[in-house]
Amino acid sequence: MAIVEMRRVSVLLMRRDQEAFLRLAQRLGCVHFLPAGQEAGPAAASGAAEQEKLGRLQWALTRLSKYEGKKRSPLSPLPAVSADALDGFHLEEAMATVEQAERLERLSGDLRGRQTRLRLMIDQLTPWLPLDLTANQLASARSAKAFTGSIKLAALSELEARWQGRPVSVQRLTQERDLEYILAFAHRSVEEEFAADLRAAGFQPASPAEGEGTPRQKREALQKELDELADEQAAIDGQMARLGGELPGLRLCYEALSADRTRSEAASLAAVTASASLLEGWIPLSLTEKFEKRVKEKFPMAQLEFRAPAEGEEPPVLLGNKPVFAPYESVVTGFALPDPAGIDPTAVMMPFFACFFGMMVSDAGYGIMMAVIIPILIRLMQPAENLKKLMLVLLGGGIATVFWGALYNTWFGFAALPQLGVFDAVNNSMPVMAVCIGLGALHLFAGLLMGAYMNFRDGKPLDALYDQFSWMMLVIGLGLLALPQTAAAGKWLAIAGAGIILLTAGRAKSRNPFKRLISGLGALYGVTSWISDLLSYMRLFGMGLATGVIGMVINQLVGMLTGSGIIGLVIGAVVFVGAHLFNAAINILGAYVHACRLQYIEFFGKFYQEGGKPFRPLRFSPRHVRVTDAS
Amino acid sequence: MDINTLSLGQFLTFVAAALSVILAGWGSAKGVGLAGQTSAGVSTENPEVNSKLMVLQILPGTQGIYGFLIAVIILVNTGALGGNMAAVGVSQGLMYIGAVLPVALVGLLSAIHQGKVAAAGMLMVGQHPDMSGKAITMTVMVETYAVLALLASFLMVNAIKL
Repeated sequence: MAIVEMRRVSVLLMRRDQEAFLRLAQRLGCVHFLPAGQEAGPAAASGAAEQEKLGRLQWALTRLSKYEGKKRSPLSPLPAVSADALDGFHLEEAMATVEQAERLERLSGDLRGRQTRLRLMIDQLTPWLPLDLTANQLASARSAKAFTGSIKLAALSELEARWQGRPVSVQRLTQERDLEYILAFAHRSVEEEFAADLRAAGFQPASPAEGEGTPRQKREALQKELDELADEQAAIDGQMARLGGELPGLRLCYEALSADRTRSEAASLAAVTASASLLEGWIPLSLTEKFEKRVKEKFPMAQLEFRAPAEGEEPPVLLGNKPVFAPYESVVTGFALPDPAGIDPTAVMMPFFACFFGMMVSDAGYGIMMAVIIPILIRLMQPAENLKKLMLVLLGGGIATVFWGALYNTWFGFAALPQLGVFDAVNNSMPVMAVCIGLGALHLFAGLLMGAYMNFRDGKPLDALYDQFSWMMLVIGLGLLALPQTAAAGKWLAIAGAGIILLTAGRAKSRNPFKRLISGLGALYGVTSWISDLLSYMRLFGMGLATGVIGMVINQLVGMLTGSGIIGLVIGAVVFVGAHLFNAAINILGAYVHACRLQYIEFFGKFYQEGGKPFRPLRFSPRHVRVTDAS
Repeated sequence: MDINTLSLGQFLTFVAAALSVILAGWGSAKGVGLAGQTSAGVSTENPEVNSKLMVLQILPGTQGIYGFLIAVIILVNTGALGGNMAAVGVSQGLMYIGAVLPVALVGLLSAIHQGKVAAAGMLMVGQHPDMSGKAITMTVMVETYAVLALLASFLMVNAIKL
């Protein structure tokens, strides 16, 4: 349980060795670099260009990923790559591939545009297909004037009736909803009159495309062009798919380039002269020897210097815990890192977290499921550090779930082993609630003790009495009041605690005794927050109840299904598995979130000092591969 | 259960169970829906945080589960789920309606408010993906009151003797 102790390291070496040194530091992954000296070095001018290249590479990776020959199952680990392989990448080759992919994408975008235009033209021609004349033929009629366009059906019938028996002919071509596309001829003598009447009837003039060819011939030509474009598109897709073969190289190049970029960021922090280069940073104390040895091996001329943090310097915070506790660091960092002068609560928090998680999932069957599946998943996926930590947290919670599930006697919603059961949440809920509040009090007191420990460590034992033990006296005293045998002792304990709070809570604010008393009263009002804090642990009961009852309902439903023959049995089995998986998933998420909340608000609220800056060493942080032999 | 012999008390019991599912579920549907819209918006800007947003999105969904839970306990306690419903008097039926009010009304309102906090948290996560722990904590704060309402309803439902 600790915040890892840091040393300030400075490295002085030949400027020409700087790049090689940073490569080594990146592999070791243990130094958090800082700006060296007063003026920062030349800003990474190539940063923007590299960023742009990374962006284009990422685009190509996403675009080509669907052409990947063999899809990687999400359960299998990322491909492993050695750090040496990252050093020997071919940027030009990869960028040539990216350019090719970009060119193909542009072509294909062009093609799509032309195809859309052609389809639109075909659509516009469709109503005119019954027309067997070309536009030129229509225009060349000598004794009659041709009209083409669309008109409402109702208006058309009236129009036809009005012009019955006069030198006008109307030919209906195509009907589209309530519109009729028509071709009409009017003799030159009535041309003007007919045109006026058409306008009045709401006729929309429109013409099949200009030039030679009947609409049908034109459409065939367009369709042919469209087919050719589709062939072209297929060819482009084929070329794109062939580029899919380049994916492994592209991924490697992406990782190498991003490693390059983080390195050049570190390089920009160096203070340089014409021939020398000075780098400064933080390194965990335990790694200084190894680091010095590896650097000296490669750069005998380099000067290394380690020193403890000076007054006023704030080293970055890295949490270091024993392997049992280490996964729970992710819970702490999910809130905020502790102040470098504060305390790492991971180890104290871990048993409470697992216990609360188990109480909220509270189904031993789900617990067994988690305890079996998670180790298999970790073995199969070889997940990255953060995901692995999360999975181990869930594994610990799963084991606690088996314990609590047995006490609740809930096994996949069945009350299977009554001899193990201690609690019955549905029919006799009072004992369960008492356990919840009791665990809550324990948790909160643990928080107070952490605060007291910090006060002792900082040489302020009286503060521990004023701020932490006074509250414990008050709360325990109030608790003892509930039992007749201990009520007298409880009364005096509570009064003593309250007295201390009343007199000392305002000590930092003012020297005026009256003002202090007022602050003390305000602090004493904080007893209400203790009530709400304790009540908050009732969620342990509520969430556990929810899992159990829903599991029970699932089993009842399945019982009804399986009553009706073989088909019912099959459906019942499917429902049983699916519904219990759903219930488990929802409750595992809920339990995780609420267990976190109980730490962040109730527990941390009693002592935690946040505000540390994270330790971010120069290292590989690949997205598409695992770097295997980094150090 | 014969429909012809259903008493007013039994009917009121069903009304209570229905209210619990309807109101709490309504709130959850609204809350999850609200959060889902924001999730879609934030994901278009920053697709990488999508999985973090998913957790935030389903948080307002628990109220619906709590409402369902109380309904099931009512049906179990009155034997309706076993198909052999006990005789429930009118006063007991009314007591069931009173008992579901906390989980139903607090569920309805807290789920909507939780959805709003979740949506705001998503915007925060979109900008600062490392703050998702804080966003989740803020969202879960709202849920406290739904849990308390669930407990109150549960205690009241269990206190009704048939």
